Amino acid sequence: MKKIFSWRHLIAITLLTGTLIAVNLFGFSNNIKNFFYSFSSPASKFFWSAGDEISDFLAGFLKAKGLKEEAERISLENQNFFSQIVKLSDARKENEELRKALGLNLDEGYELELANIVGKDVSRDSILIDKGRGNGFLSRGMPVINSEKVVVGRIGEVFNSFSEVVLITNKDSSFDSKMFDKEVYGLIKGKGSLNLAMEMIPKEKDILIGDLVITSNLGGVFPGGFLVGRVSEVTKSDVATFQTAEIEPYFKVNELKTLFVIKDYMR
Amino acid sequence: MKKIFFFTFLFFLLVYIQTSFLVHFLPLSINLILILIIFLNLFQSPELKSGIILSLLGGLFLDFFSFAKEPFFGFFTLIFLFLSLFIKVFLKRYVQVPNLKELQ
Repeated sequence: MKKIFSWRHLIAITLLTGTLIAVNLFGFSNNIKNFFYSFSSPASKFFWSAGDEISDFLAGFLKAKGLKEEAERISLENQNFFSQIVKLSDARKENEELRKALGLNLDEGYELELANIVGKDVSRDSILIDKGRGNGFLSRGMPVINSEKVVVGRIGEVFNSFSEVVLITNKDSSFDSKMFDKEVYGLIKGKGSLNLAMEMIPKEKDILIGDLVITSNLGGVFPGGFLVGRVSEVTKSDVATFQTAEIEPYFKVNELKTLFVIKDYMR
Repeated sequence: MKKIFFFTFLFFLLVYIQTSFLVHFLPLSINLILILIIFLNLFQSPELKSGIILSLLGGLFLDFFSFAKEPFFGFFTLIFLFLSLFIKVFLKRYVQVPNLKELQ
């Protein structure tokens, strides 16, 4: 029977594997990728904006049926938020007075770097932004938020002119969080494919569908008080010590355009 | 050679569109290049080697557009290479494609 692979094929495969190992060992992969992104990013940005505009246009037709219900739901939510704002403004005044009395700094402004999205990773929950080591002085671990103060992810791999943002939904992502307006803490873990879950919530704590989840200062991964998402499902078991909540993230990858990197948050 | 140039351009376009334009429409886990590679190798004669070269090229493009260092640069290239080799070996050893001319 004729052999399927000759020696020539085996040598070619070995050479290819050897080249790839060398590229990884000597760290050339970042330079190659940076070069590749440099010439492909203008077109990528164009395609991203085009896709965003077309999907918005199509969504108008496809979601027309549910618009009335959506408007009613949002108006109800608005009323809830207004009542919360009134409550919070009183708490804020009290907080400011206490801070003054204790001599604490009120300014919570962060040094932000504006970045545009270039593309989405083909295999995992991460995106590429057009700021890197050279043009934004970014480094690994910096928190990334959007203009609505919703936490999006953290800087992962940093290239010269580009950086990877590891989304909070990535399987490698986990950080401390708390329920808004409740003393309920938990650990947010990425589940991949834009899914999130809040784990390690003590079983005796009451959580409801629709509760807001915000970041907590505890783990030092993200600054506290940034929006994460909303509880969409609660799983409780009699035998388990903790309960788990499925979280619907506030950001939508297909609606993101510009992001802000917090450069001065110390980990 | 023409086929290889054509598919190189097609892969480039596909990976480009998939990572930017289609993010707004398709589920994020769909990999168009992987689907194309499987179809190319399935419907090509096991004797032809261009399917393997095209798998390498497709994998290389995916490696470029995979932003993270993990698992390693070349991961998709090697996976696609072994996938196309597997399909070729499987077709050659275990599948007998009927010749349509003989059937008529």
